[in-house]
Amino acid sequence: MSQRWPKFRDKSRALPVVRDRVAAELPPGKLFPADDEDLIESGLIDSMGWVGILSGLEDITGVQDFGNPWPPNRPQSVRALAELLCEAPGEDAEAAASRSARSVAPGDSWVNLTGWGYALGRIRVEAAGVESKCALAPGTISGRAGIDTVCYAGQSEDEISLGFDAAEAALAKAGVGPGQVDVLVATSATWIAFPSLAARLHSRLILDESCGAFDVGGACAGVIHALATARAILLTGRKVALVVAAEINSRPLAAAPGEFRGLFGDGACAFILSRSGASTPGECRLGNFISGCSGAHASALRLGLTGVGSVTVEFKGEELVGAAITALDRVIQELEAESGTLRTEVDWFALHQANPRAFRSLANRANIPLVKSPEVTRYTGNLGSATCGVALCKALEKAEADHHGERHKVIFVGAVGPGLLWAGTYISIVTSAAASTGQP
Amino acid sequence: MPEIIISDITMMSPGYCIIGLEPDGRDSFRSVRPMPFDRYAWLDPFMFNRGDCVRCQFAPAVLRAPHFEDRQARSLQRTGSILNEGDLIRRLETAEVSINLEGLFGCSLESDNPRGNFWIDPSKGQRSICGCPYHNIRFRVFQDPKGLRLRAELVLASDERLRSLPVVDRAWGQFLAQLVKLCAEDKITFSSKTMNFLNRQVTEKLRKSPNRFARIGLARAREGKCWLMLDSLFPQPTGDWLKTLEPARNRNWQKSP
Repeated sequence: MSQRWPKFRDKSRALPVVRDRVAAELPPGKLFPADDEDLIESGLIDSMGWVGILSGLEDITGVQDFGNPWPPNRPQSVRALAELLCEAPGEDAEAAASRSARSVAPGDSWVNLTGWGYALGRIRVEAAGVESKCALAPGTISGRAGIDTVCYAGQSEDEISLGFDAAEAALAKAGVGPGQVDVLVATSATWIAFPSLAARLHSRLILDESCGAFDVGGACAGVIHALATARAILLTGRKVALVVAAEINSRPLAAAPGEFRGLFGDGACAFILSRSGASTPGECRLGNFISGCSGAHASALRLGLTGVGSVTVEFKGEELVGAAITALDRVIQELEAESGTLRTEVDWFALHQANPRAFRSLANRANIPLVKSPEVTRYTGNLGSATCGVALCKALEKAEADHHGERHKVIFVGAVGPGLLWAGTYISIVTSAAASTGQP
Repeated sequence: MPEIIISDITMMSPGYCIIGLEPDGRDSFRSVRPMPFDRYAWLDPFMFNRGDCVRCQFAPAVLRAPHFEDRQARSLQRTGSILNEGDLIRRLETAEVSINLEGLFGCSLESDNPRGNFWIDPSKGQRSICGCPYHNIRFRVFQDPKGLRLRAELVLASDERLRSLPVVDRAWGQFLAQLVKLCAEDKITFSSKTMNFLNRQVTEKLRKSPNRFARIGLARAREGKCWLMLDSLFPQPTGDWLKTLEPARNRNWQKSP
């Protein structure tokens, strides 16, 4: 939560704020107490009212968990509340450190990926099973598309539950509590209900009410749009963002042609983005974004999702794969220019993969070693927006294990979506040596 | 003499308020609230636990909406049968249950401030206790004159939130007391680290449990409001959970000066 406390550092300004909150909780007919009177012991306010006062002050000041727990041997009075309001910045070393980081001017800071996680549908089906289920000739999924297994959501799983699990993993990895998240950006091509996925996740995760929540689109490119949006918001002064991409393809595509739906699985990924002002080894700095849209291939994939059992699909597979490969190659070229890193110098690639065969074609054409590109769809099926996200999680895991050496490690991230949309970004992992020399 | 299963034991000064389940048809139960003749609470020492099956002789009580479950009872006598937590929850799931806010008490929930607890108009409530499955929970600790008190924010199956519920569940009160005692023994401030323990390790245990179920009760009417309370939170905490605190105690906690 962003702090708004500095304007209350002066007690003369804090007292009226506290008095207002106390007045709002006083039962009708009770006289306003003296500033030093203990509100609880005097019976003026009950515990429910006390909680209301603290919550109200937390709302006004933005100081998280204001007055919790209450300092021992201190009266629960108006004056003590005002004093606590003034002291808030210095009472806790951890909070002070956090506040210090928050005080970095937006222009002097950058955004790091500090946490990540993913969750896959818990039912794993071998390619032969998928072919049988989708009434496809044997070898269509395994041989032609190169998929070994597809992950499907269980009965109790949906975009929210998978998104929640991924977000929890990302929060834990970043060591960030739900109350610290300033904004949640979600993306999903398969969530077609209101409240939005972001709103439902906001509630499920018990994020603070002052944390914003909204969805962005882009289908398979959605996760990069969400990362770009979140980064832009953080650079305006917010501190922590949560990005979630979640897709349950198996349900809305249940009525789609077998050769199309057989390629898709269910999964989610999540990322914690934090604004930082200090260079530390291992930090994963999110670079600039590139994006575009080439309408020439708009009809290669048209999909109308209107609920389970009702879907219209226009799918020109070969044309789409060809266009996607061309677009991803272009993404890589633009990222080379944007990052100043040649593709031959890149350490890992986290790219959208429509299917493993298309991915290998791209690797071949774009001169990307497969060993530097975590494969996702071979083991899960196409997870839509989560495909590139899960590949990024895997690349970050590898990067985390190897952040030594003389120079930054670099990950290129790219995806394409129907339209044909394309988007990309890069991540620089600061090595020990680079951090000590103060390299940006 | 009728038999009930004790399902909820809540802290109510100067003792404990209990709710039990009595059969309501072949495969379902309903809640009743046995009370001593002269007060709402059973006094300490109260030797019963959740899941205990007891016999009690009921007499009609003066019912005030929405506490229609009230019954006056003489002594409680053990039958010797005890249900484990899972079996108790299976029965609670056949009693009063709602998956959303609207269904909890059959009327709208009101709130005085956007982060505060909900209350209902006593004249509109259809009942004073209701079970609900939940997705997620977050704890907060507040100070009042008698010590630290636990509150919870609960996300129901509908993804609607119940904010700032006072946790009056006896077992959770005891768990918090143990936690406070551990802090005192080690001269450790009840700091954000302890809150991390509650909101990471403990909530993770809750979220992963198949027995994720809560019972929301209503306090007695006061100034035209019945406030919501968290009467029971399953799974119930055990002393073992505090063992996971040990590494944190040794490594991270902030020592008091």
